[in-house]
Amino acid sequence: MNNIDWNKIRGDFPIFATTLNDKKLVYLDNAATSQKPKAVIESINRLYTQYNANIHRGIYKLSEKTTEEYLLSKEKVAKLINANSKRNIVYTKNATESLNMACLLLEKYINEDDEIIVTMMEHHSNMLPWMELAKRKNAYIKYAPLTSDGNIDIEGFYALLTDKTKVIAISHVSNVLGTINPIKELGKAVKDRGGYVVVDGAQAVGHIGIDIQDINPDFYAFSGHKMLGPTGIGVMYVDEEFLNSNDPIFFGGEMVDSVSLDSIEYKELPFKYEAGTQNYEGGIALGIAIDYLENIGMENIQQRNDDLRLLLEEELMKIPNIHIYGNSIRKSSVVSFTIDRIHPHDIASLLDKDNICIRAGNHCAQPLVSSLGVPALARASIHFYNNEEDINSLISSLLSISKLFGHG
Amino acid sequence: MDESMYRQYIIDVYNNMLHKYEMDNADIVKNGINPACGDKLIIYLKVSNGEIKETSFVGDGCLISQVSAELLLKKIKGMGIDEVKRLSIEDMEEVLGIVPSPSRVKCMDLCRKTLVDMVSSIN
Repeated sequence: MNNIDWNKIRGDFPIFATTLNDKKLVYLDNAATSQKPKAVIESINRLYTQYNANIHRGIYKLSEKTTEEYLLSKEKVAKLINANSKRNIVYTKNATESLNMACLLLEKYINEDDEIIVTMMEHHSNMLPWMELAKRKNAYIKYAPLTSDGNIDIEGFYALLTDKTKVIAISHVSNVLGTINPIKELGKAVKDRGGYVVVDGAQAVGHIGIDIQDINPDFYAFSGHKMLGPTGIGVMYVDEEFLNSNDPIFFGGEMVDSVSLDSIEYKELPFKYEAGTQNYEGGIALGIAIDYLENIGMENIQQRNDDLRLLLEEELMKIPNIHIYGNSIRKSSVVSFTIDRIHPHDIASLLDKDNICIRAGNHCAQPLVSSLGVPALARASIHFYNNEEDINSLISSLLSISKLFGHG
Repeated sequence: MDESMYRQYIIDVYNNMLHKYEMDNADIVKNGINPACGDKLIIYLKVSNGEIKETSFVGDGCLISQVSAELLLKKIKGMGIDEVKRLSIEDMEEVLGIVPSPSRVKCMDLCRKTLVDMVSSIN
């Protein structure tokens, strides 16, 4: 690992200069959304003050500049995940929209009695679209079971495979358990049977290095806002052959080369899948976020997140009557926990008094949280700009809360 | 606002709840749930001559939802049904002695809503 000045990096994020009642911000809800470096914030200002014009259509310099920046951002996305080219990169609103689009694009390949495998740890965004699709097509959902340490039960997964298996919907990293799933291996098993692999990468990109050519999914979805970019921009990586041999699902301006009253000729990839004026502001700022990530280096970020997460887990064990959910050896920077007799909502509310932000609830993964036998979970999730002091603040506040409720 | 939500007496009530148990032979039993946050209550009532005689509850949820149930069910013992039907959110704030933050009002109100629903069909 290179010698990186993490303290200086934290200084790139203006939000950490804010305070609430003289208490500094301890932001540990990075799995919900990440904070933004100055470079990203300024890039949006720069767009609107210096070169804003609609992309693709203008025959003038301003529009050419915006278009160029937009296209460059796609190249950056492709490079970050090691995709073949920007032709694979379709912009969407967020990972949820990407996953819904994947589902709609696959609909015509799903027949009655076909089987869709969804893992038990999926976020609602990679579960509900498939449940609805199965209903429309009279197909079946099979849920891949988990082991007690929060991994996908591999034997249980293989037992689900049949010649009817058409799709696996699987998260790269669980937003509740933090587990990094063996998506390449499980995906291959489904592909070998002629099925499609749809990966929710929302918690992975920007946190761990992604080699999409090695993983080889059909679809891989992620959100800009969880990787230092702005809200409202998401990515759907799609296998190029699939994109070429299918028709888009949204139609309108910008996505066509020529239109007559009885025929449409679509634009080249990926633009035929991007109808109407795109969120080029989001795309361009996402490109700047990727520059920022690449400048630190994904390996360094992953190492930093691992170090902080291990420290967080170690320190949390000092809290009386605490339970941590998700103990996979392959784990990212999400730590879910409960403390006996203290409801997660109370933990989050009480931490908020100290300006410490964590998430509490079912984390849009109700079936998973129910299967863990708890009504809700508290979740602290970190990113590289967090530091040891953040973790110490959390632990010290949790100890006070514990005491308040008569623990230890 | 949170500052006042977690007062010591509220936590003392939470740590020593006298009405949190399953009741045998209750006259009316009803589930209440806040789907958004998952707070759950089951309320048990014994009623005779238009009056609440005995109350209890079980449930899972945040401090505010559970303490609100404990304090409200303590208060309504001996209360006439008609009076229970008229209980309002303002009454809940009085029972609890705090005004919760906007996002927690529904936690405070779960017990009252469920209770009013339970007695609504009793004349």
